[in-house]
Amino acid sequence: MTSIKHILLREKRRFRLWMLLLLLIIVLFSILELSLGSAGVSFVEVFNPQDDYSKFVLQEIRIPRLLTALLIGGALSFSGLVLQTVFRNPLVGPSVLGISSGASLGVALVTMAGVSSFSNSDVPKVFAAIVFSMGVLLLLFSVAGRFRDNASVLIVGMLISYLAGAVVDILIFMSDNDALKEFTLWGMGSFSRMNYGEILVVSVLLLIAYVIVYRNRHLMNLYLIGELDEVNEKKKRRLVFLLIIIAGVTTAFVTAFCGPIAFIGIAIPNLMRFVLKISDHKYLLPGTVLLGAAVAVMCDLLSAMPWSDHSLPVNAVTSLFGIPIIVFMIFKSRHKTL
Amino acid sequence: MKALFYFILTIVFLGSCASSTTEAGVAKESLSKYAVGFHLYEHNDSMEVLIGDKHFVYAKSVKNTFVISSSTQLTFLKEMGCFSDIIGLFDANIYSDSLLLDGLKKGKILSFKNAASPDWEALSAHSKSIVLGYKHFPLHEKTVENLNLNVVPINEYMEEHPLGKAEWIKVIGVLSGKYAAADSIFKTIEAKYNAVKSTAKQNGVKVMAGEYYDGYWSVPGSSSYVALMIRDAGGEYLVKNISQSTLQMNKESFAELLKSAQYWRKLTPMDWQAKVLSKEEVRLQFDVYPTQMKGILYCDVNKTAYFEKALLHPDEELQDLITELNGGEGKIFYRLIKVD
Repeated sequence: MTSIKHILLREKRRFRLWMLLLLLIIVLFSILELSLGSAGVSFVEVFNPQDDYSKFVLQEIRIPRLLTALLIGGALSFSGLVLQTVFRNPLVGPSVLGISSGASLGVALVTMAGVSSFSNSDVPKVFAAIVFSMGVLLLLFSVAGRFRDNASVLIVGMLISYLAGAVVDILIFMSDNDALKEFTLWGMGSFSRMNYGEILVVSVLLLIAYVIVYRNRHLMNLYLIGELDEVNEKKKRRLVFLLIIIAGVTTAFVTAFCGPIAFIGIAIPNLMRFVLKISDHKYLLPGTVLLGAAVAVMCDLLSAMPWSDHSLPVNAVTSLFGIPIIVFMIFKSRHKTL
Repeated sequence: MKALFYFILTIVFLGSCASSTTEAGVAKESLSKYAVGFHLYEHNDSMEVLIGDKHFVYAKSVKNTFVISSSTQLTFLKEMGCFSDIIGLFDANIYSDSLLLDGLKKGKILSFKNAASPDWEALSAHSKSIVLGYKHFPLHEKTVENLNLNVVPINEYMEEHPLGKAEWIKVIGVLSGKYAAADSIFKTIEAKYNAVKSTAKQNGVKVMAGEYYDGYWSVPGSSSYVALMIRDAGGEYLVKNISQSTLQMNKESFAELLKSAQYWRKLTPMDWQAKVLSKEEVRLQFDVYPTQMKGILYCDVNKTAYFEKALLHPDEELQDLITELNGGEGKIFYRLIKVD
């Protein structure tokens, strides 16, 4: 008994230490993100902007980008963790249900239909992405209701993804250069597209989703080790339904605003499990959100390349970061499940 | 050792004979002046064109028919009076020319589907026609070779100099057996452009260009068509030392450059009704900080048929820019939206 208590205490201590470390990393990265950039707004000006232009750069460019990176990193990692629990598979991510592909299809239709990016307004694309990704989610559920196992839902999700991909390919094939460029850049992901209003909407959504999932953390733990299967099948099905909806809606909104951001949703929950060495959602949920936020800001810093006029697509950097982790996890989990 | 010496001597001699034969076979200087994508040599009865590693020789009086794959090729052929030589096209949806669409409807002009995936079977039945290639054709090189098709790449879109784009009319002239006419048309374009250019005052007005695409600004490089045009109009293009034709810039880098711009050159496929904008409106609409901005040099590419018309009338585009950089109103391509 004493040893279990001791283990729990050790887990708690490790968790607190990691949370503290993550918060420090986030603060450090945030200061760097706000201080670095081609506009030459210095570290000191972050706290006390010298002129209107510095204020503009901070308020209209750097702060929204930082908040977006924090929010999207946290949201995708959260969504990935929830889906990995639902499917009891560490290699599942937010894109597997076809939701990102649905969003891509929506954006492809809008860009190929000639709604041009005349101003910075992304409203038509965001709207189409949300409508199509939610459409995919509804389709998934109308089909998935007929299956009893989650693997079938996963397969249906992947098939929907291929279907959406096929339509996108047709649209790409028929599109002109400008539309193709617009769609390609959307697909590369960016944290520079959200304004304060949109950030607020996604923050509130993520907060509600987080609270709902966190309240179900004990059930998620039981589900993960298979104990819920034996106790209450109905309860299990309700939990799975709720979790998929939450992960789906979160992914849909994130993809709609920032494009499909690769690998954060798969890699971060695995990395958090690895550092905490536990699968308890009480610790994993906050840890994953914070780590996701920190990694997203780090990736954005690298992709912005403040030392140069060039910038890299965020997706390239998140992939460079995420793929080695996933490969590592595949080797690690050959004989293990969650 | 002696044998080796004679062997090397023989090789050197034969080598020099071979090169001198080549030298004797072609005119020494390329007839292209501004374009870098092709070289043109005149012989007694024929014209020789080098485009990249492709080499074509046509008799001066040759008569050809054409399959086109871009609207700029249509512009060239119409200017050369060769419209009736067009027997087919790719991507019918990109054309707005009523005569061409009418020909297509009546079956006088054939559609070979998309340039990205042509109807090879139909195309091979017209293997004697010249297919004017565009961006996609390098992908089909093997198929083109197997079907023995006659594809000539028209890479005018890769030229950075305004007159370099127009100079591709000389290649069309060679292919249609009307080189002299093409050369004369080009000389007129060149003279008009240079005449307009000579009227520009080098007043160093600061100009920026760039279009927004989903989180990134697509900005022409410092040696691009846009940069050269702005310089020829007497302005100073704010992007420096960027060798690529286009650069994807993040919001902050773009805002930093646009901050000191007095004019912003914008091309969009939309009719923008605004006549005057406040700096605050520009800031809110585009997330930029236009402290010095006096105006936006705005071109609706659809309404003005910019890509087709500016190709052979760079003087008119230059004239518009010169007028607007001096506070006037452009007539053909650009409209000045004043910024207060």
